[in-house]
Amino acid sequence: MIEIENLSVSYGKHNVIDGMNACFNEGKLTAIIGPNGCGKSTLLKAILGILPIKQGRVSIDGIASTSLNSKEVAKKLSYLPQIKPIPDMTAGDLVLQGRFPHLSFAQRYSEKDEEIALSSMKQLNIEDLYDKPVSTLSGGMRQNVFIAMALAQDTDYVLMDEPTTHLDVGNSIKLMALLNELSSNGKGIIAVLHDITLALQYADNIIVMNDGKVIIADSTKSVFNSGVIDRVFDVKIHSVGNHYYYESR
Amino acid sequence: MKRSAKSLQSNKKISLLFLAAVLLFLVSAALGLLSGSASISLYDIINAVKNGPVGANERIFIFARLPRTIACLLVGSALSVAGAIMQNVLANKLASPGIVGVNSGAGLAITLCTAFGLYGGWRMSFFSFIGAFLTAFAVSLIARRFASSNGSVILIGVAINSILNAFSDAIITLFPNIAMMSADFRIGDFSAVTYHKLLPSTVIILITLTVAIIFSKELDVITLGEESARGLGLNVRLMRTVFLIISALLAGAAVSLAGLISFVGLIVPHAVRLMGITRSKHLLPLCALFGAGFVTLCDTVAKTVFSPYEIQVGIIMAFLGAPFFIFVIIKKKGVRVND
Repeated sequence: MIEIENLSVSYGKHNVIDGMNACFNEGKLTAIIGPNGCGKSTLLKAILGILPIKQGRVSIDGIASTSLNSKEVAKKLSYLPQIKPIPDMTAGDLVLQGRFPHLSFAQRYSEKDEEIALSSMKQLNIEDLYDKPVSTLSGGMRQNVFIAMALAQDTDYVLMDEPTTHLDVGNSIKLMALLNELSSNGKGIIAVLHDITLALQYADNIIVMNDGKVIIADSTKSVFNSGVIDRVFDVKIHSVGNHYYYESR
Repeated sequence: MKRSAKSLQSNKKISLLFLAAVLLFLVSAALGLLSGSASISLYDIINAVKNGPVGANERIFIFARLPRTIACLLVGSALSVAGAIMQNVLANKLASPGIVGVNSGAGLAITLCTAFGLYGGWRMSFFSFIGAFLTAFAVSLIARRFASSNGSVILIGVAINSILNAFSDAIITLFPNIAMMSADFRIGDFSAVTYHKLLPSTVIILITLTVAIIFSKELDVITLGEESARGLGLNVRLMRTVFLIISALLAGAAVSLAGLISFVGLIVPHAVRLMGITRSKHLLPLCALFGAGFVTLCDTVAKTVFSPYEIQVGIIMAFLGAPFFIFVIIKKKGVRVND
C-alpha cells in the first residue's frame, strides 16, 4: 500500500499540495481527477521522489519513501510521465529501458530482459513495432511503447500521468481495459485522468482533487453518488448502466 | 519466446559494422604511417621498430609519423565519442564539442596557459579539461534554466563559442608572442605532435573512453528525458555531470593535442546513427573506431593532397563538416515529431 500522510509539496512558496492524505492499494485501479493545476501530476512526482516533499510522509509498503534510494523506488513504482521527448532509439530498445532499475552498475541487459520487454509489448499488441525507430511512430503508437516500458519495469505499482494522451477513443478504451486487467492481477494502478467518464467507467476508486487537497477519495460508485465531481468540474454527470456522459450545468 | 527475425538481422548488421570499423581503423592507421612528404617503406618501419632511430627515415617514423598517427586515432575517437555523448545529454543532434563551444573553452584555457608561460603536457591537458568542462557545464546549465526548446541549446552554445573565441583573440592580441596560438592551433593540425604532448592525452582519452562505454546504459536512459529517467531510478543530476566531465575530458585532451578541430563530433556520430545504430553500447565504440579512422584518413589527405606541402586537417574538416551541418538541419526538419 502507498500511504500519503499530511503531504505538502510546493513550488517556491506556493503549496501545490497542501496537507494531503490518501492511500493506494495493490490490486486496485485508482483514478485521480481534478481541474487543471489542482496538483495531480505534482502528487505523482512527490510519490516518486522526483519532487521534494515539504512536509508529511509518503510510505511504500510501510517504508518511508525518503529512506529508499531512487533505484529501490523504481523497483516498486513505475512511472509514465505526461511529457516525454522522442528518444533516438527503436521501440524495442525503449521498452528495454524499463529493465534498468533491475540491473546493477555495469551489468548488461540479458536475454531475459529482452524477453520481458517483448512480452510487455505483446500485452499491448505492439510487438510488430520492436525494430521500428520511435521517431517514426505516431503519437498513439509512441504512447503505447512508453506504456510497455512502464510494464517492463515489472513493479507492484504503476503511476501514470494522463496515459490516454495521444490515444484515439478505441485505443483509450483498450488501454483502460488493460489497466483494469493488470489491477485485477494484483498491480496497484494510479492514473491521473482528464477524461472523467473513462475514470468512472474503469476505476475501482477515484480521488477528486481541487486546489491541492483531496475533496473525496472513495469507491467509484460512492464518488459518483456524492455529486462532488459535478461541483468540482461544474458539470452534470449522468450514467446509463456502466457508461457515463456529462453536460454543462 | 524468440526475438524477431529482424532483430537477429540487426545483430548481424552490428557485427558487420564493427568489422568495417576495425578495418577502417587499421587501414587508416597504415596509410597514416606510410604517407607523407618523405617516402617511408615498410622496411624502414620494421627497421625502426627493431633498431630504433638509426637513419633519417627511421627517425621520421619514430618521432613524426608514429606520434602523429596515434594522435589522429585518439583525437578522432575522443571527439566523436564526446559528440555522441553531448548529443544525448543536451537532447540535440546538432550538439558537438566544436559547435557548442567546448573546444573553444579548452582552447581559451590553453591560450591562457601559454600566455602565462605554463607549458608542459599534463598541465596543459589539465587546464584544457577545466576549460572544456566549465564551458560544457555553463551551456548545459543555461540551456536547462533558460532555453525555451532543445534547439536553443545550440544557439546558446554558438553564443558562448563566440565569447570564448573573442577572449582568446584578445589574449593573442595582448600577448603576440604566443607560439601555440598559431594558425595551426586555431584551425586544427597534427604536425606539431610530440610524445611529450601525446602521453597525457593518450592516458586520459583511453581511460575516459572505457568509462564512457561502461556508462552506456545510463546514457540511453538519460535520453528518455529527466522525468522518465528519474522514474527509472537514474540519478539524473549526477549522471549528467558525469557525462559532461567525460565529454570535457575527451574534448580537452583532443584540443590539447591537435587544436580546435571542428565537426568531427557532429559528422561521425551522425554517420553511425544513419547506419541504424542507436543503442549507446554499440554507438560509442563504433563512434570511437570510425572517428579514429575518419580523422586519420582526413589527415592523410591533408598531408598528401598538395604534397610536398601540407594543409591543416581542420581545413578538410571544415569543408566536409559545414555542408554536413546544413544537411543535418535539413534532415531534422523532415523527421516527424508530432502527429
